[in-house]
Amino acid sequence: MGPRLQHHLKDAGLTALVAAGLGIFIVGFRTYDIGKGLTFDYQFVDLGIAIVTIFFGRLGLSLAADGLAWPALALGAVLGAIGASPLKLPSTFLHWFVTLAGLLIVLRTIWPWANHGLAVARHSPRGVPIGQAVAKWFGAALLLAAVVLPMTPLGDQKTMDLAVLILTYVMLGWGLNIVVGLAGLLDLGYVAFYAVGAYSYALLSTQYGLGSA
Amino acid sequence: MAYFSQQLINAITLGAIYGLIAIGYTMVYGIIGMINFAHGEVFMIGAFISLIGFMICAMLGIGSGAVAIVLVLLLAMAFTAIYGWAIERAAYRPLRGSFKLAPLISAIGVSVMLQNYVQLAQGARPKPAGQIVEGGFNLFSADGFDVRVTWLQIIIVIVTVSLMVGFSWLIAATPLGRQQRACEQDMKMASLLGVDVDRTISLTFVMGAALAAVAGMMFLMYYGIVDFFIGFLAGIKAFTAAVLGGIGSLAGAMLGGLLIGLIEVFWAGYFSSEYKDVAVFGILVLVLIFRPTGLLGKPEIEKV
Repeated sequence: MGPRLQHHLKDAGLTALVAAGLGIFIVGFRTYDIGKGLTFDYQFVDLGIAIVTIFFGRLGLSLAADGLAWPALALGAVLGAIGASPLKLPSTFLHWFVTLAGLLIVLRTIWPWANHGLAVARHSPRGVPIGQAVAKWFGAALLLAAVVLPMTPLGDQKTMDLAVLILTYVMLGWGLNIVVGLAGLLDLGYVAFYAVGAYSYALLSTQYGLGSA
Repeated sequence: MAYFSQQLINAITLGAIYGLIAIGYTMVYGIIGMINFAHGEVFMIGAFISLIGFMICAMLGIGSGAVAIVLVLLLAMAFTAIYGWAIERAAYRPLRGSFKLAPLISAIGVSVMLQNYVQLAQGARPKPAGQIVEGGFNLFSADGFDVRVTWLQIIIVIVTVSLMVGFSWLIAATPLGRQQRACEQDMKMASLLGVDVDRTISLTFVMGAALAAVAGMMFLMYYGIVDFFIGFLAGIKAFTAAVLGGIGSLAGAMLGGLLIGLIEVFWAGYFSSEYKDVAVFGILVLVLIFRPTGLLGKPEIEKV
């Protein structure tokens, strides 16, 4: 226990040191434009809290990876509680940061158990993989939902915009899958075709009145 | 003639900056065969650290002398190198040996993350730095037009050339360079022969980031303004430079950077500044059609 804990503490200390090196200029000094030049103020308190969080986060993660589940869970719970408490940390972001660190440790700790549980649950009692059975009707259910959604009261403007955006990304993903996945060519310029399509529609509809209701 | 000379001077300065960034791309590609798309963002971080370093120097009363420049240069190189190391350690090393696209996508993710990190920590507005090195001299006058060289341009070219010479020596003549070349040729064999591959790759990223920091500092001093988005276009241009010169070759990266600077400045000077990026990338396409390995690149030999 002794040398192992020492090893984890050293590892966490090194991680915190690297984090300090990364953050000291970009986070520690905040520059402001005051019209006739730049000035800066210090954010060392924020930086310090973040570094301490990173130290304990790293400690919790390596404890969890080492199989010391209960200390890791306790550390995660403490971090989560600090982040969620009404304690006055300097910014909302830091509250999120501390909470997420705690959550991450908890997730990392229960991951082996959850993974085991999932592996058990993946097979129905008769040994049939449930994933295949679900996949069969899941696509059909999604398609049905997409068709029905505009007619339900749920389908207001905001939801429809979001749904259209999602389907646009799905379509982009299909196209990219053909070029990258099937042809094996990493086409970074693929998204330019997206732009060409958008411009074509814009020009046709503003100049020739096509496609506008 | 005078106009041409002036444009040439400006182009060489710009090309030196692009070349410094391009070396980072080319070294990383050479050693692990991956395009580090986060490198442009490392350059941007270097520029920001230099900006803050200069402000701290001004606050401490060091002023804008040669001392401040050397101090900030060392500071920016050291702290940007930590970024290079951390990116490799956190985002690329766990994916080594994974399928080929994985580290590339991870690099794009790191690039977006660093942009947002700096935007969040420093704000989205452009930061004016003011002039740090002032003055220059007139080289000659012709047709009522002064050809002017600023001290800053001389500093940029001298720093770039000396770093270039230093790094070529480092690759060619030191044990570290030998290890890097060994990893480049055959990583598995190198590790069998006692080369610490992880350490060598980490050091490659550290060196690339340090050079990007120098480029960031030069950019800051030359243009006097930085924001969180400068890394994107500079990164793409430098990547273009590395590919144009032949990716994997140090001299090629420098030559490519110089060519990109020349094309960009002369196109903007003689035709139109709106289409200068189109000209740069158009010439890249032409070169790649006729020489797929770039100007100084060696054709890939399939090792059996």
